[in-house]
Amino acid sequence: MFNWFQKKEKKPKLFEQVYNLFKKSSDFFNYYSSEAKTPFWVCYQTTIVDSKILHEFILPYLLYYPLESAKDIQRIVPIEQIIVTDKIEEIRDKILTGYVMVQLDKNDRYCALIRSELNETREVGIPEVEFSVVGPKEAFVESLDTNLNIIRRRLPIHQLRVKELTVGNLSKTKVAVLYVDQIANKENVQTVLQRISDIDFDHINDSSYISEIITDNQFSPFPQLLDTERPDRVCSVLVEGKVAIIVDGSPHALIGPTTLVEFFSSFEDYYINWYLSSFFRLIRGFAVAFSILVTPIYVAVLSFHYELIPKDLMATLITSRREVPLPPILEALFLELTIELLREAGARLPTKVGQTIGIVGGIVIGTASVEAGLTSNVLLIIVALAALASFTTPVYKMGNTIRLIRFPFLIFADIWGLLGIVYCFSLMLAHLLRLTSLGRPFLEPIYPLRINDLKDAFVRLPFSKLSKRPTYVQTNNRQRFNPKDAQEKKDIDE
Amino acid sequence: MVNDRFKISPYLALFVISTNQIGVGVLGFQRIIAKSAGHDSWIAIILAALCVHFLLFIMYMMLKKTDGDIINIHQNIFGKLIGNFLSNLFIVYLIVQTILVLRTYLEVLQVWMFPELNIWVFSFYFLGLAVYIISGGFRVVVGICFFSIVLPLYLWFSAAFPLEFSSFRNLLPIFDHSIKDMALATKDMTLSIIGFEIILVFYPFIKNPEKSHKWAHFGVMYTTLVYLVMGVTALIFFSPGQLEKTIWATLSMWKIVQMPIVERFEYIGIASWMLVVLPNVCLSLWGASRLLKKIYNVKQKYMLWAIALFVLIISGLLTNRKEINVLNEIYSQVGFYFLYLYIPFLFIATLILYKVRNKE
Amino acid sequence: MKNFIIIFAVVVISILTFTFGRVTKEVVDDVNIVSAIGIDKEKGDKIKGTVVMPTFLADKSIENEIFEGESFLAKEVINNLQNQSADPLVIGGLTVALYGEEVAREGITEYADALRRDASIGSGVYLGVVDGEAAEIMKGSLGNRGTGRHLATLFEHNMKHRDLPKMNLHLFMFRFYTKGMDTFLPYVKMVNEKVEIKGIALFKEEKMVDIVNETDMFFFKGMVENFIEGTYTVRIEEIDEYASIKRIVSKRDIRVQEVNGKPEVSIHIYLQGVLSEFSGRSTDEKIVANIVKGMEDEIVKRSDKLIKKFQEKNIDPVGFGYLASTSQRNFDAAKWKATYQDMKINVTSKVDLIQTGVIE
Repeated sequence: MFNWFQKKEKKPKLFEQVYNLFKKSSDFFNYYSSEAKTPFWVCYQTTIVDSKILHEFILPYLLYYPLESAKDIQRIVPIEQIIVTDKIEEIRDKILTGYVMVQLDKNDRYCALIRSELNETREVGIPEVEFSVVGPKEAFVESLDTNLNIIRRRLPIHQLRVKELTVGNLSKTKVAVLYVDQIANKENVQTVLQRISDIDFDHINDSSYISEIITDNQFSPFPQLLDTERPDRVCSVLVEGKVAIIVDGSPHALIGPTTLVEFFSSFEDYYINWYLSSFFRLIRGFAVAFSILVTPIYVAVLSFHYELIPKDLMATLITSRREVPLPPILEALFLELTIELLREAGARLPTKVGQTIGIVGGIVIGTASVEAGLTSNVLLIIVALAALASFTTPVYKMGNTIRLIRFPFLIFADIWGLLGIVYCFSLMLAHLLRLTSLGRPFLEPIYPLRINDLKDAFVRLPFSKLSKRPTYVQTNNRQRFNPKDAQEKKDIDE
Repeated sequence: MVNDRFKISPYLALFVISTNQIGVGVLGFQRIIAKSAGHDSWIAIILAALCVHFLLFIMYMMLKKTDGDIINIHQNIFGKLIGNFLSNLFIVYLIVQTILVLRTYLEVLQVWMFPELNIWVFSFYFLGLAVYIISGGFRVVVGICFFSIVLPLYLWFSAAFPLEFSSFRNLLPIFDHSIKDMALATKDMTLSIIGFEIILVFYPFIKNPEKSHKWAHFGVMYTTLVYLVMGVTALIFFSPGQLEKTIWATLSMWKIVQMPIVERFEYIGIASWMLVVLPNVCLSLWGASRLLKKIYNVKQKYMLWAIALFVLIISGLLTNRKEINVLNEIYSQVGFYFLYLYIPFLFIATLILYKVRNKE
Repeated sequence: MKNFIIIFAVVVISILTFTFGRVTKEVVDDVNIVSAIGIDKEKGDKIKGTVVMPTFLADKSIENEIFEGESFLAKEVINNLQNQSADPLVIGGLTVALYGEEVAREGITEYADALRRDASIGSGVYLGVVDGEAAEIMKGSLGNRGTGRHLATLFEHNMKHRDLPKMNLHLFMFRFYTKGMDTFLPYVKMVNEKVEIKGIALFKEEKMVDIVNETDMFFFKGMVENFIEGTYTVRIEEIDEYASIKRIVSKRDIRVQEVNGKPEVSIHIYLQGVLSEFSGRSTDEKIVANIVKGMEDEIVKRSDKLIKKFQEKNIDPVGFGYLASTSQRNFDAAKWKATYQDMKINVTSKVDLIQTGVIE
């Protein structure tokens, strides 16, 4: 724009270097202000600088105050984050994250970097993946500062530590590791920090990238770090002594170490009566077993073990399969894949269209395939129930895993019937036994057996019984509160 | 020495000991003990359990003194050369145990479920799973042991169904057999609940091993309870003549189980039994490879693969019942002398050795 | 290179698994599940087997499909029938096996043994002897849920709630192999296209020798079992009325004593019941006492008659010998056998009417 104008004055050396670095980018802006009390050079990336801050808080002060050196800017401009430096790398990186570079005169070796970042982010919304009827209705957003702000407000203690790291060779993503000092195990914190700083990856888009890179076993279908969009959940596990990882640009925080059981606990469990939440947890546990095993059992029993079928059920099963030309395994695979297709199509399409797909697919394809004699209606019921059951898993990533591991079970059921199912189950068990989350056993509290942790695993006992932090986190301070204070022993009518 | 990270809690000794004792034997031990002691054979189960408690006790005494495993015991008593040779024999014993357990389970599968089940393919998958488990370390092996006790707990309910068709009078009159018969039955029974000698290998893997002593005994008690319940149920469910002809009494009892959703239970039982057999194979494979590693200072990983391959080939080549029976017979004899002669001998030798050393 | 080897190995293993590892499928709608089998005698040593299986029609109704074949062995019949059947015949779903009287008189244990030897057959299969030919029953389309299912439920409810003693494949073999106890089976007949339980066929060793009449079944069951339901109508002579008694609890108590070197048996039958029907007008205490007395006498009279019959045929379906052998040490079976036929067996009874209905 003002290129002809700038040629008159020779740029300071540092400014010249920065200018050469950025000049090919059309959103880079620089000019020389000669009318100011002290003339100065300014440059910034227009697209990431908040012009409001620039015009209200930076330029007026620079224009009307006499300035001796770059240090003076720090004194005069009413913005906290002002860096005075002469390092070209730092200047380059800061300009790219929304700083304005100001250099006074060609004689001044230093320049000032003033933060005036444009924070375009959405409002804090309600959790959509981990929706809950009761309890807080705020979810993380893409901005790291906003997320940290939400957590800080819930945990106003000085022990809450935030360690910020930058990862990604190209993305320079800010990653914050959160833990509560004196509660969290140092080893856990160290492991997380070590693994994150060891990341050598070009582009970190989301916390899932971090999760996959730092996870204990990358070849496992099971997620080994819990991800959540609920600030309340993050705060609660921080207090338990776990470590949370928040990634700039991702509305999902990561939590570790975690256990298999934790993936099946919804955070709403803590907001409702403990009888209810225990009941729901048991239901969920049953749903998982049902979802994984029921179709394979159907295939196994119908293919190999007709003796097992009760006589009263025999007529129903045989009449429903009479017209079906496919063997049970193909029939089951066909239906399972149909359900997966429906889910995938529903997930890819815009919400409004997605709903239609669900209805159309469910009703039309289901009924039509039964009528066409491609599948039996008994299996249709079973597969639909199994799919429904798999959606009860509160953590989305675990729900996907549950749906996936059904397929090996199906194949083994087709090879060896019930024996194949038990084989596949043993294999899964062995795999789960070998898994660790940040080096802590994944199957805890079942194996190794920890009675204390069982209180908040398959059931949830009332809060007064949960006076100790989970064992597997190996916290420095196991006691959450003194259970004796919580409950007073009273006689009748006292 | 074993790193603390790979050690297990003392209470887990219960599961390891118990699970290694409960194996394919439970499916058909009743006939073997009833052969000599008839309806009194349940007493033999208790007597055998007492013997096992005693043997376990002296094993623990020995291990506590030596603070190591069987290799250390052997080396202490016989010196390095002969000691290692004897340890090698123990390794062979463990490998034969693996083959027998695997092959007997396969036979059950062939007789009861899939007559045309391919031994090579199934053994391959089974051993592959075992190798996968063992590669995870001893902690994972113990995890499988733990689940092999916990998950099949529901099989206890199956013992209630035959009671409807049982006649408790079968057990009367009590003590109707001669001492010799009882002794014979006790001997046969001991061979069914063999497996606790694995403590000689995994002792150094226990955190505070002294504390595990009582847990190991609890483990034997649990095993006894399982055998006792299965034994007594079979004795009252079958008449003596019938039991004599029933090779797999436990499985035959499951045939009578009928539930609203499951008409025939034995298929579920046999399939679940894989989870019971799996840790037996894992433990003996692990034990054999671990001892080899310690003696020859080689990588356990490679030893494990080699032994698994060997077991696969042998179990694939054993084709008929006769050959299995011969192997079983030899194994039983060796096991008997190993437990009742060799272990007490080792114990006394260790005692004397430490007495002499202390005096010096 | 390493990746290539891994992929290659996985492919080879999957191919091998799918070609050699699979076992024969018996898909439920592609097999013919035999639900009942009837065995009759043919000329010479041959037997005729008739099997019936349900075929499920599209409108959910069930039709019976019947196959008939001859052979020397029971199981072989099924194999011979395979070439008549479109889908393979499988026998794992068998629920009822009936034998013609002619076969039963020659001994059915070999056939029952064939059933027990097959791992796929449950031990809850109902057995029965047919007055006439078993084929006749197999061919008659019974019930609307298939002949096999119809027969099974017929037996089941009569054993649970009526006068038929509990009996199935397992109990048959149990009794057969128990010393001092003889076995029995339900005795059925085709009457007007319906199957009726006509009594109980008594066996000596493996051969059928006699029948218990329909009217005596109530007392027969009282002697061989505890805890059962059933009704019996007794004529009270003193007042010339009929009373129908429904039994709720019945217990038998058999004692064997040695009197003058000879064993003497006393059997006491205790019955607790309700008066379900009475032909008289009112039931005051005196009449109730009469009914009780009448019933007690009836039990003693009928049971005594039955026992006399057993002794005459030298059979022991009650199991006096079994009870004696389990209540005495050093039981002399040979001596018992020799003296059984003229042994003194006393029957006593006690009846409690705990209620007389909702009216007086």
